[in-house]
Amino acid sequence: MLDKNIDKVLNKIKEKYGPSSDLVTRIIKIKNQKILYCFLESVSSDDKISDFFMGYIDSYIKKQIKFKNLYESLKNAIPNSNLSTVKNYEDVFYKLASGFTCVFVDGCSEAISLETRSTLDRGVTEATSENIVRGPKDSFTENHQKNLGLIRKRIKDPNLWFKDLVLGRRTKTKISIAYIKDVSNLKLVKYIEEELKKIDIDGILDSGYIREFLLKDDKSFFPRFHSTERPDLACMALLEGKIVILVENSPFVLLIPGLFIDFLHSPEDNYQKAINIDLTRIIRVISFFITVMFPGIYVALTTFNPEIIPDELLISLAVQRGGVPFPTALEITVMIITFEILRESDVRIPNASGAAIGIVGALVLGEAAVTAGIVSPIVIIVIGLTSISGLLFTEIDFVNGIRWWRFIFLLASTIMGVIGFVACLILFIVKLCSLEFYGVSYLAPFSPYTKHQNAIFRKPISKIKKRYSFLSKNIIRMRDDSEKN
Amino acid sequence: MIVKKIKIFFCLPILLFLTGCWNYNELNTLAITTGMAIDKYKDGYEVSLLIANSKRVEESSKEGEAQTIVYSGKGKTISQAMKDIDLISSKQLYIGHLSVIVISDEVAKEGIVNTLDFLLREPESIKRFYIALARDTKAKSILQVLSPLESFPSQNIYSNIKFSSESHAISASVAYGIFIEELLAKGKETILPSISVKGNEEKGSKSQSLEESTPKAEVKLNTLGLFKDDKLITYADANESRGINLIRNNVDEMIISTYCDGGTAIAKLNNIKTDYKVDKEKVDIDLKGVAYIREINCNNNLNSSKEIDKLEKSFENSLKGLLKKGIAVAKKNKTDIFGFGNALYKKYPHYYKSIENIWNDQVFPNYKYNIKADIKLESKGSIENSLKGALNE
Repeated sequence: MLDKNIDKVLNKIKEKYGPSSDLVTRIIKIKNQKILYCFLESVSSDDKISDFFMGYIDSYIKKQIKFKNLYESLKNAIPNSNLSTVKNYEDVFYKLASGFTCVFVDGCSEAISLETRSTLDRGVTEATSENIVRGPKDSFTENHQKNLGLIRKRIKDPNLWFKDLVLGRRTKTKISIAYIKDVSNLKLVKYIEEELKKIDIDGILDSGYIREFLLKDDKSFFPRFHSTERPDLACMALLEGKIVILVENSPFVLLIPGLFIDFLHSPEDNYQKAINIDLTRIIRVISFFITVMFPGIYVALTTFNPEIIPDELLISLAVQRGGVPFPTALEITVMIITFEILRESDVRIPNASGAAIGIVGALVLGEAAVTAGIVSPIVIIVIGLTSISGLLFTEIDFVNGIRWWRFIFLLASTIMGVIGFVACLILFIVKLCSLEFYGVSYLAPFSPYTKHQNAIFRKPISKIKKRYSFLSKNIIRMRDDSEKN
Repeated sequence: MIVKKIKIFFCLPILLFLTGCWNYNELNTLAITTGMAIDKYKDGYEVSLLIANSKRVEESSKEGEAQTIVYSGKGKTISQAMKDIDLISSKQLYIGHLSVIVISDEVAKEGIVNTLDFLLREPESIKRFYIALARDTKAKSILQVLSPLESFPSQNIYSNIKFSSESHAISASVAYGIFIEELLAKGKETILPSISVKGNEEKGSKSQSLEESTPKAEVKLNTLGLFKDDKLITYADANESRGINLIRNNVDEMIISTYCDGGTAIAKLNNIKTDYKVDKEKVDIDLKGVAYIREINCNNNLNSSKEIDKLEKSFENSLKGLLKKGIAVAKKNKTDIFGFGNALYKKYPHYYKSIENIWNDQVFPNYKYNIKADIKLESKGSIENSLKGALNE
C-alpha cells in the first residue's frame, strides 16, 4: 500500500534509489494541494512529460478551475493514452523503470502512472544473422512492443493471442507467449506458461535463458528450439501451429516445438519457386552430412579401408602424405581446431582488422602449413569442404552442435575405422530419434513418419492444404470451395 | 562421478596419437602394388611387384624419371616370394589395388592353379583385377615397359585390356574372379588374353625411352590363349580369337571386312549378341548385330536394296567364317572353351554326367553345330556410293 503522506512517499522512493542520479522528483502545489511526480530520466522522454503532464498542469493552474477531487480529475483528464493507477510500491518501481511517470496526490493512497517512455532501441533494421535474397527484410529488435507489432501486423486475426509474463526478480523482463488460439496446441501453451512461472531467477537477458529453463535435462548437442530474428519466419511458425516466445530486449524469438528439419529450412524457401527450392534443400541435406561426417569418413577410408578409393586417387593421396610425420587423425584435428579458432576470431574481431584474418587464414595456415609438411594438401580440402558446408546453417547453436558430432565421428573412425564410423552413425540416429518435446518428436515428420509436403521437397503453396497433425489439431490450412460454406 | 567423466574426456584425445590400433595403416606406410608378374624360377616362382607410390611420382612428370619400381622376389610359392620382396621394401606391401596380374606362358603351360590360391585367400585383395598371359617374353619385363600415355605400366595394361578387348574382339578382358569361376565350372574351359612386347624390352624399361617420339618398346595385346583345366594348350590366331570371342559374347563392337564387287567393304558391327541352344547332338548358334559401313571400295550401287541385301549376306558369311574358325581351333585342341558342356549340364544333367569324363576328348570334337547370322545394315555414313564407283561413272 502506498503512503498517504506525499513526503513519506518521496522519502521512500529516494531511499530506494539511493545515489542514482537519474531519478527526477518534483513537488508542485495546486490550490494548496501538493502533487509529487517522479520519473527516471534515463528511460523517459522529457518531451512527453512536458507535453502530456506539465502542459496540462500548467493550463489547470492558469484557468484556476475549481475542482473537488484533484486526484480524480487528474486521472480523468491527463491527455495520455496509456494511463493507469498504481497501488503499491512494487508497481511504482516497475513503472518507473519502464519509463512511466508516476504522479502522487497528497492524501491519496493511489498514484497515477502515465507512459512517457523514450525509445531506447535501434529501430527496425535488416536481419543480420539470417540473410535472404528474396523476401521481407525487417527483423525483430530489442523493443518488446515493436516485436509484438511486427507479428501483429502480419497476422491480423484477433485469435492471435499474446500471453504476458514478467520474469526475473531484478530485471522484471516481459515475456510474451504468442499463439493462435484456434490453431495452436493450447495444452502446450499452458504447459509452457506453468514452466515459465516456476522460474525464479534474478535476471532474464535473452531468449536463450528461456530455452534452457524449458529443457532442463537437455543433453543433446543440437538446439531443440529454433530461434529467429525474422518476423516472417515467426509468423510462418505461428500459422503452422507452433508457439512463439518473445523476450523483452532480445531480438531472437523462440519457435516451440523445434524440429530438426527446421534448421535445414530458410524462410526464403517459401518465397521462391518450389521446384528450384528442392535442389537447394538437397544441397543443404548433403552438406549437413558432409559437415558432420566427412573428416570421419576420410580417416576411416584412408587409414583402415583404402580398397574403396580409386587407384589414381589413392596413389596421389599416398604421395601427398609422403613427408607428413603425424597420423591422419591428428592432422585433421589440428586443422579443425585451427579453423574453429579462425572462425571465432572472425566473429569477435572489429571489422577494421578483418582483412588480416583472411591473409593469415588463407596463406599462413593453408599454403604454408602444406609447404612446411605439417599437413597434406588433401586434408586442407577435407577441412575446407567440411567447414564451408557447416556455414550453410544460420542457427549458431546448430553449427556448434555439428562441431561436436564431427569430432565424435572422427574419434570413432580413428579407433575402429569404417566399423567405428557406422557404429557412431547408429548412435547418432538413435540419439536424434530419442529427442522429443511435449510429445513432438525431434525428427518429425520423418520419424515417426507423417505425410508431409514441405520437409525436404516442397510442393507449391497452392497444393499444401494441411498443417502437420503433430503440431496442430486444426489441420485445415487451405479451404476448398466445398468447405467454404 | 564428474571427476571420472572429466578423466575419460581428457583421455579420449590421446587415442588420436595412438596409431597402433587394429588394422590401422597410414597411407604413406603402404607400398601400393598395382601390378604383379609371375615367372618360372627353378622349381618355384619369381614374383615381381609393381609399386606405384614411389617418392619420385611428384617430380617425375617434369623430369621424365621412372615413376614406378618393380621389385622381384623368389620362392617356392607365391607367398614365399612375396615375403622375399618384403625384405627389400621399406613399406608394407598392400595388394588391395592390384589392377593386373601377368603370368608367363611357361608357368601357364605347367598349370597355374598353384598360383591362384594366395590372391583368392588374401582378404585385402579385390578380385576384379585382370589376368593376362605374357607371350614370348618374361612376365616381369611386361611390367617394366613404360608407356608415354599412362603413369604406370600396370595402368597402361589395364586400360589397354579393358578398352581394346571390347572394341577389337581379338583380346578379351578376364577378371580374376570370373577366371576362377570358369575354371571351376563344369563343362567349361577358360581363355586368357596374352600380351607381348614389341621392341627392345631393356631400353623400353628406361625412362629415356619416353623422351623419344617413338618409344623403344611397346606393350601390345595379342590373341587368346586356350586353356584345358589350368594348363595353357595353345594360342589361337587373330581370326580364331575373334570367332571365340563372338561365341563367348565378349564383343561389343568390332570391325569386319568382306569382299565385294571389285574391292573390300569394311563395316563396324554394333549390338552384337550371340545366343546358342544346345542339344544332345548339336548346338544352334544364333548371331545378331547391326552394321554401319565404314569404308567401301567397290563398284556396287548402294542405292539399290538388292545390293544392300547382297552386302548384308556377304558380311554374314564372313562372320560365319570367323565363328567356324573359332570352333575349329577349340575342337582341334579338344577344349570346350565356349561352355557348351556347361549348358548341356544345365539342360540334361543326367545325360551330361554319363559323358562328363569323355566330353572334352571325345564328344566335343565331334559335336555338330549350326550357325545362323543376321546382320542389318543400318547406315552408310555421310556419303552414298563409293568414291571409286563415282569416279568410274
